Amino acid sequence: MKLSTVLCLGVLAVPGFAFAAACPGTALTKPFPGAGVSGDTCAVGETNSIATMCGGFVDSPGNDDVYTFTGDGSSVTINAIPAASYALALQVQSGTCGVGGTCVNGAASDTGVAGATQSVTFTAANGTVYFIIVNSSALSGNCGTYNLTGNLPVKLEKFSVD
Amino acid sequence: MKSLKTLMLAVASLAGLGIAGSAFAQCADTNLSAWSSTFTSNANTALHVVATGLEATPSACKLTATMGSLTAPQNATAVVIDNTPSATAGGEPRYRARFYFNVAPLTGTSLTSAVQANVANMVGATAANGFQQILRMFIKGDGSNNRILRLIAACNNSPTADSRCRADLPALSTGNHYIEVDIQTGASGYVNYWLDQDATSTAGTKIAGAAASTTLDMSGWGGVNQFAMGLGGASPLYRSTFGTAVLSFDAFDSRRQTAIGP
Repeated sequence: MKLSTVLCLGVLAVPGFAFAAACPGTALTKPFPGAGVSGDTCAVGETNSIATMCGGFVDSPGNDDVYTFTGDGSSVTINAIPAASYALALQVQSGTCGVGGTCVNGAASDTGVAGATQSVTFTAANGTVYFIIVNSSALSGNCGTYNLTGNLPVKLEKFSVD
Repeated sequence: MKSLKTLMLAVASLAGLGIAGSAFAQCADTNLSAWSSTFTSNANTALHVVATGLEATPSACKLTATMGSLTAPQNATAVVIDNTPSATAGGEPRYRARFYFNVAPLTGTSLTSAVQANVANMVGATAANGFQQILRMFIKGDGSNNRILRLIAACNNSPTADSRCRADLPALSTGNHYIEVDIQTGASGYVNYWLDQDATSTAGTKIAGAAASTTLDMSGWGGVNQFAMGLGGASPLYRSTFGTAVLSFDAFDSRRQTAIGP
C-alpha cells in the first residue's frame, strides 16, 4: 500500500509594503513565509477608516488595517499578536469591506487586554472574498505594532491509495 | 411614504386549522434570512426565532438574543442587521423605526446603573467624532434596580460636549414593550421617540441637546444606512451578571416618515 499525500500549508505574508491598506484591503498571497505580516496602525498614513461594524455593535475607535483573501472551503486561522501596549481587536467580514460588510459568525476576537493575542478560526467558503480587519479594541482606541500569523486555507491537494 | 422594511418574524396563523403545534414548528431560525445579515460573535452567543410574538395580539414568533455566558468577552454580540436604507445614496435623511422588546430577565438587586447593554443601533452613512451610530439604544439599570432604555443620538450640540445627546426613558415594567423613533438627520435634525405610545396619535418626546434645544445638529453622520437590533456592547457587570439572559424582540418596521404605531 502506498500513500501519496500533498498538503499545502502556509502562513500569512505580504512582503514589501510600508503600511497596510484600508478597505478594500491588502491582498494576502501565497507563498507564505513563516514570519507572517508585520504592521503598525500608528504609522504615518494610517487612518480610522472603519468606525463601526456589525450593525454598529462592534466599535473600532482607532486606526485599522485590512487584509483580504479568497476562501476555498477550508478552515482558516488568523492570529494577531500586538505589542505589549497595544489592545487590538480582530474581525472578519465578507461581502463588502467596512460598515456594510457581513460580519462572519464566530470570527471576532476582542478581549480588551493590551498585548493579548487575538485569534479567530472559521471556515472560508470557496470563492468568497474575506476581509481581515485589525483594529483597536472597542474600549481602547489606541494603535501600535502587530504581527499577523496563521494558516490560510490548508488544502488537501491530492490523496491516493495504490 | 414608502415602507422600507417590515420584518414581523411571524408566520401565517394556522389557528383556524386547529394545528396547535404548527406555529411552533414554523418558528425556525431559517426566518432570520429575512434580514440582510446576522452576526453572532462566538459559539455562546445566539439568535433564535421562537414562539410567541410580543405584540398585544401576538404573532406566531419572536426573535431572541443572548450572550450565552457569564464569562462573555467584551465583544460578545448577537444581532440582526437591515441594510435596506443604504439603497438610498447617502442614507435615508428621514427614518422611522419601531420594534417590540422584552427585557424582563434583567431584574433584581444586581440590576445596578453599571449594568448596560446595547440593544439597537441606527448607523449613519459617514463617521464623525469617532463614531457612526446616529442613534443607539441601551438597556440599563437606573440606580434603583429598574430597567430603563437610554437613547443616545449623535449631535454636534451635545450638553456634555461629547457629540452625544442622551435621554433616559421611564422605568420598564415586566412584560412586553414597543418603541418607535422618528429621526430627521442633518444640521436641523431631531430624534422623536414614543415608548409604549401610539405614534399615529400622540406627539412623542424629543431628545434634547445643549440648552434644552430639541433641534439636534446631526450634520456629519449623513442619513441612516443601517438598522440593527439584538445584544452587544455590554458592560462588564452586564456580562458577569446577566450574560446568560435571553432578551426578546419582534415586529420591526421601518419607514421614511409615516408614523407606524403599535
